[in-house]
Amino acid sequence: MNEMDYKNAHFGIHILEERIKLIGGTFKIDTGDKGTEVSAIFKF
Amino acid sequence: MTKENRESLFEIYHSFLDEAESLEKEIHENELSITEAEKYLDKMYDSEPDDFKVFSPRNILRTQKTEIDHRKELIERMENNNKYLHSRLEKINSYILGLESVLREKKEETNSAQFIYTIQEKERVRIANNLHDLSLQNLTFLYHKTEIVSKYIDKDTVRAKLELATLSKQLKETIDDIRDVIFNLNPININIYGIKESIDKLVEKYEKINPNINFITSIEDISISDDTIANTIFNFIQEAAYNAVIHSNGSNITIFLKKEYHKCYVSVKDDG
Repeated sequence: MNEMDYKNAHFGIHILEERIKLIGGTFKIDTGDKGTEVSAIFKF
Repeated sequence: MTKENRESLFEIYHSFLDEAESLEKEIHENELSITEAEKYLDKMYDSEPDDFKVFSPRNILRTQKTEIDHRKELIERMENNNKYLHSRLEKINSYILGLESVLREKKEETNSAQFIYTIQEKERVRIANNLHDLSLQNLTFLYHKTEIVSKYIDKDTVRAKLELATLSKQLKETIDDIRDVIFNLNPININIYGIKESIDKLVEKYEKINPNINFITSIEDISISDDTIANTIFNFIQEAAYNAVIHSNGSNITIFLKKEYHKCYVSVKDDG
């Protein structure tokens, strides 16, 4: 499953990505054979 | 940025585009004039009769001096002008790129805001439907149950007690449903317990959903004064961890949260 497939399968995460970007954060999805990592950086 | 400011930016952007087009045109015309003048000079030098070189002390540089000087001056002037025009064009192009970037960002921001608004509307309808289909129907059913109990309470106390027991159980389930809806809308636990304890409670809840999954957590007990950021961090972990619990088919889920200076790093990883 690549990043786009993950976002399409989990629409909620897509909404969160937009929310995170709107408040100035960054969002990343790493998909691979060993699993999936969803990460974000929030700035204060 | 107001609508008026955005329109002004567009006007500036288009005036820069017009200026760039006019500069390019002028540069091109100058280049044509330079080429033409150079060709004219070459032609003059080439057309110098060989006889002049042998029998006459004069040459083309003397006979056509004024014309040659004029052409050379023209070429020099055009080249200097083009140098200026090129530097101006370079500056204008950098302004155009800068404005394009600002206008694109603003467009994306507007699209994002529209996207969020659409999502909010969908979410509002979903919650209304959820409350109507589940909680309201359960409450209506319970209301009718109380009427039945009131009829049986004098005639058949045993039946009335049984109905009351069922009613109590269903009332508890309805309360839990409504609590879930409220919790999903606003995880007030963060304000009460803090982010670490709220996530620990969330993990406990997910462990019950799928007991085969092992949770590994590294959650720093940080304080976040901004409610929007705190709620977004919690929602992020809630959503990503739920996806991992239900869909990953993995056996381990790692949740990481750490604050460094003015940044907070959050990640949810599965091995599915």
